[in-house]
Order: sequence, then structure tokens, then C-alpha cells
Amino acid sequence: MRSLTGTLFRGVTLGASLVLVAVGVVLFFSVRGYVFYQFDNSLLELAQMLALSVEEKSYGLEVDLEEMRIEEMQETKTPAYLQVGSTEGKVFYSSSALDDIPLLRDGEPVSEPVYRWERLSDGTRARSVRYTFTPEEDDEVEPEPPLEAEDVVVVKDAGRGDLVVLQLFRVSSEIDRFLNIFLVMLVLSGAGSLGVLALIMWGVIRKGAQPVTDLAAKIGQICDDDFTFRIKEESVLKELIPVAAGFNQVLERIGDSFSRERSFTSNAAHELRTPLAGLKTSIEVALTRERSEQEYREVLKKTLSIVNQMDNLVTGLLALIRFESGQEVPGRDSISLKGSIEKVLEGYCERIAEKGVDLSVNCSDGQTVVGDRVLFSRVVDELVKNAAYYVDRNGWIRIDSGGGAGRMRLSIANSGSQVNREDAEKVFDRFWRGNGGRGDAGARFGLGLPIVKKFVEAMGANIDVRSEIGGEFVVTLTLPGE
Amino acid sequence: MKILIIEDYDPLRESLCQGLVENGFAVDAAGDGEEGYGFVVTGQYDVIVLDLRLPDMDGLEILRRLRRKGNPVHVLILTAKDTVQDRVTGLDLGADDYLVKPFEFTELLARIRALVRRKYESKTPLARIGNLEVDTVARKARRDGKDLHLTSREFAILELLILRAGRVVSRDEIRENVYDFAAETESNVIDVYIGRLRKKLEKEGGSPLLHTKRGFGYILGERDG
Repeated sequence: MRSLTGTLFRGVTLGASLVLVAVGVVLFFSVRGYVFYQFDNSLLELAQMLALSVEEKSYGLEVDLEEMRIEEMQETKTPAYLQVGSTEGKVFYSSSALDDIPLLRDGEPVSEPVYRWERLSDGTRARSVRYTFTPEEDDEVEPEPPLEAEDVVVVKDAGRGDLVVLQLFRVSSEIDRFLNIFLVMLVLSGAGSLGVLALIMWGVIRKGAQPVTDLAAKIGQICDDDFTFRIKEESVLKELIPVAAGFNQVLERIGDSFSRERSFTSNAAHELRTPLAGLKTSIEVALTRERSEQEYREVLKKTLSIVNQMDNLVTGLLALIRFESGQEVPGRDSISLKGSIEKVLEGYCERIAEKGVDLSVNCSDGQTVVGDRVLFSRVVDELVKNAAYYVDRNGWIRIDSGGGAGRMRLSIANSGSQVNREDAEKVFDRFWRGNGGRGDAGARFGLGLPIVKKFVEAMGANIDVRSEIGGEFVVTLTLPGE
Repeated sequence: MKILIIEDYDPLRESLCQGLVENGFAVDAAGDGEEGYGFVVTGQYDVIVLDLRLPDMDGLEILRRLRRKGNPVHVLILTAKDTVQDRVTGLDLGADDYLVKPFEFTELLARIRALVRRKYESKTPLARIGNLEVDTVARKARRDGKDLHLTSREFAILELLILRAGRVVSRDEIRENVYDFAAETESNVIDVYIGRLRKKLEKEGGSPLLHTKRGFGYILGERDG
């Protein structure tokens, strides 16, 4: 698993390694370049000095080998070798180690010094400079050296003023050794530095990441169902305040949701247990003694009524769950408002009349809304049933519709509201029953309006409610029209 | 024995009433908190069976008010709330027992009887006076080893008298604790039942146990105290 500390450490270490390698490469090649530059200069200076040993005499060109055997040439660790010849490539003198090496190469300029790497006949690597010069004239008449003289080379056919080429070689083993040692030291010091740097960075990163670790530890202390915990923003670093604030908000939302779910589960269990207790007790009491057929019939009627209530409750709960989980997709039908309302009212007119309620319906023909026919019918049924149940004796129920521009409004109002203005929105909370009353012989569970709201929202419509205790209770639907 | 049931779910309340009445209890019932509390403050009950989630006034609020006034009536909470915290809250507020819905009716009866016995400081369901034995669970009475065949109401009167043995029980107390409030009760009906009970108790020539304290009521004991 990736860790913040590990990722930071790997990133910083890789970065530092690249920087160190880049610095090392630049440093190595700079030093190498400087060393070769100095080496080449000293080689050229030596070549220029050796060039003084070539003179034009009256009898021709004289190369004084004795003079050329100066101390630098005798140096054993980095011996030097030379070739002297004409610009035509004729060699006047060549050290034995240079037997296979040409004096001149095609395409190389003659007028300026040329530096090259060469492999000598014994296999050693050497650096060379080829220097072209005009020998100094010596007008003093001297006797020509004897032919057998070993330290002098006389070139008689050389013309006066002819250019002479001197190619000087020096073995580079010392420089190579120095550069190798330097490279090893550079690599070792780089690796060592990287190691020390890594240790320091590890400590710094650990220390830097400690607040995150502390935060994680605090979060880890939260119990499974304790959502009251909050991270104190003043206890975390400035950079972590947004994290803490965000976490607190998430925790609050989860807590609210958890609390709602727990309350819902508890209410659902309560609502199921109570009719279950009624069912069980009715049967148990009936079985405590022998009873008449009529008495058993009454018990069966009562238990059937309880079972129907439980069926309604379970159906309601399932409907809520289906719409909350998006399992149900509502259809898009064209629905006549007036027709739907009249059909629903048929089922409640007896109850409404029995309570002496004044009912008025103000819906015009041709007013249509778009929605799921079945859902809409259940919505209207629940709202009318609600009004018929809660309207006060000799009160009124008013159903109005109107609207335009693609939106239709339907309001169902009744007098004798038992809901405070402040509690109006609570009618959409699951299992909320106003003053706690179950009412209607226990048939009302506080699920009707929450389900209505789900259905209405699923159809892309809005639902609003307003209420005054003892006054009117009005539910208004705003629906997509045609 | 008089029981008050405060329960808002009609079918359950009705069945409880029926079951308790059939087991010899006098029962009052209320469907919401306000009405139930009204019964509590005006009536005398041996046990109150109390639901918690009630309209108008919560069951716990009824209990709180009741205990604040120093009312010692035994309260059995009968609710769907089943968490430990719910039970602790109910019992800490002064409930004497706690039963979760759904429940066995026989268990509820047993618990109510236990609370009644606790009220009358009786440890066992078997009450004795001389050679008279009354089993409040089996609802049977024997004298001198012989079964007394009592009707439900006769047994209820005997149970009341034996639980208050040695003390005078007035007609009003009998009416309140044996007959349902709604029952039609003529003033001499109790005398009739007392007469029948006395006859059955002394049927086999046993010594008088049920005595009349003229102007006060009745007392059960071996000698007229």
C-alpha cells in the first residue's frame, strides 16, 4: 500500500539523486576538460620549445636531437615521443614508439596546432599535438656535422624557408589515472551525500507528516456509531484545516443520515411490533376459553383488519425504499386533473358527508398534467384521504387547480388543521404523526405524506404544505402540464 | 384488582381489556396520554399498563408526573421500544416492570399478578386464611381441601378480600376493583355476590370467615375483628 511518507521520500530521494548525478557529470566533465586543456597547453609549449632545436644551417636543415632530450622527455611516468618532418609528410626523425603513426593526415589544417588521441605501438594511450613552424636561420658558417653523429639529423635537400612539422606525443596514463580516481571519489562522495541526505530527508518528512499521522490516529479513534466526534481545527496545522473541516462536515452528514436511518429503523420496528402485538394478543385472548362462533368471527375480523394495516405499512415502506433506491421509474401519461379527483372523491364522499363537511372542487375540464397515472392517482388519493380524516366536523375541504405555461397547480385544503405552522414540513418525515396519534383505529402510521412526497418528486413535480393550528391545512402540488 | 391500560393502538387495547376482564380484573382503558393521565389522577389502580409512544402526552411524561406527585401505583411499561437504554430510562423513571411488544399474553398476566402481590406484600400466589386456600394464578379456592366452585366475579371478590385480609373492604372498593366502570351495578348486587360467596365458603359447615361490618363493608378472617 502506498504511504504519504514513502511517496514523499521516494520522490525527494529520486530528485536529489538526479540533481547529484547531474552536478557530478557537469563537475567531472568540467574538471576533465580543464585538465586536458592544461595538458594540451603544456604539450604545445613543449613542442614550441623543441621546435627551437630545428635550425636552418648553411648546409641544410639540422635537427639537434641532443637538445630535444630535455628533462620532460625523460620523464618515465609520462614519456614523450616526437616526430619531425616536412609538410609533404617526409619524416626527418621519429621516435621508435611512433613507427606506425603517420605525420600528417588528410584534411587536417597545417597552419595551426592539431590535437589528437593516439594509441602507441606498445598499446598505451597518448595525447599528441602537431605543430608547424619555420625553423630559425643560423647564418653562422659552421662545419657540417659528421654523418655518423647520433644526436644530429641533417636534411640537406630542405629548401630555405620551408615549413617543418613537429608532432609531439605524451602518454596520458597519469591524467587518466587522476580522472579515474576523481570519478570514483565523485561517485563515492555522491553516494555518501545521497545517503546522508536520505536520512535527513526521512527525518524531515516523518516530522512533516506527523500531523497527518496524528490526524489519522484521531480519526481512527472514532467508534463505529459515534458520529459526535469532531476534529478541533485549532489542533491541526494550517494546511490541514480544510481537511479537518471537510472531514467534520462529512462526519456530520453521515451522523445525520445514520441518525435518520436509525430513527427510521426504530420507527419501522415499532410500527410493525405494535400491530403484531395486537394480532398476537387478540388470538391468545381468544384461545384462553371456548367461545361462540360469533365471537370467533369477531376475532377473525379484527385480526384481518390488523393484517391489512400491517400490509399497508409494509407496502408503504417498500414503496419508499423502491423510490429512494431508484428501482421504480415513473411513466409519462397525460392525466386529466378533474377526472382523477372525481374518481378519488367517490371513495371518500360518504365519510365527508358523515362529518358534515362542505366540499368544493374547482377544476376545469381539459386541465391535464403529465406524470405516472398510477402514482398520481395514489398521490391524490392519499391527500384526499388525509383531508377527509383530519377535517373538523362541519368544516370544509377545498380542491382547486390552475396554472399555465407548462406548469399546473393543484391544491387540496381542509379546515381544522392539527398541525402547527412550525411543524408543517414535518408532515413529510417518515412516521411523524403530529401529536403522536395513531388514529383511525391504528391505521395511520405517518407514512402517507412521506410516500406522497417521494411519488411527487419522482414525477418531477413539487409539493408544498402550509398549516395553521385550528385553521387550514393546505397541500399544493406543482406539476408538469402539457 | 383494578388495572388501567393506556395504549393508543385500538385493537391491542381492546384485546388487553377483554383478556384482563376475563381473568377477573376490573379494567379502565385510555387511548391517548391526556385521557390516561386523567384516569391516573382520579382513579385508584393496582397496576397501570402503560405504552410509551402516545398521542397528546408521552408515556414517560405520565410516569414522570405520577412519581413527582408521589403516586406509588405499580406501572408496567408495555412498548415496542426494546433497547437497553429505553428499558433503563423507563425503570429509572419509576416503572416497576417493562415488557416489549409483541409479548405473550400469559406473561403479561403473570407480571400483572406479581405486581398486584407486591402491592399487597404477598410473596406467593397462594393466599391462606385458616383452612381456606386461594390460588390467584390457577384462580381456584379450596376450603378444608375441598374445591369451592366460584364464579369469576365471586373469585374476584374473594381475591380482593384475601389480599386485604384483616382489613375492612368497602362496597365502593369492591365495585371499583371487581367490576368494570362501565358495568351496570346495582347497589345490592355486591350484597348478593357476598351472600353467595359466604354460602359457598361455609357450605360444608366450616366456621364463618366472611364477616359484615355494618356501615363499613366486609372483612375476611377467622374471627370477626
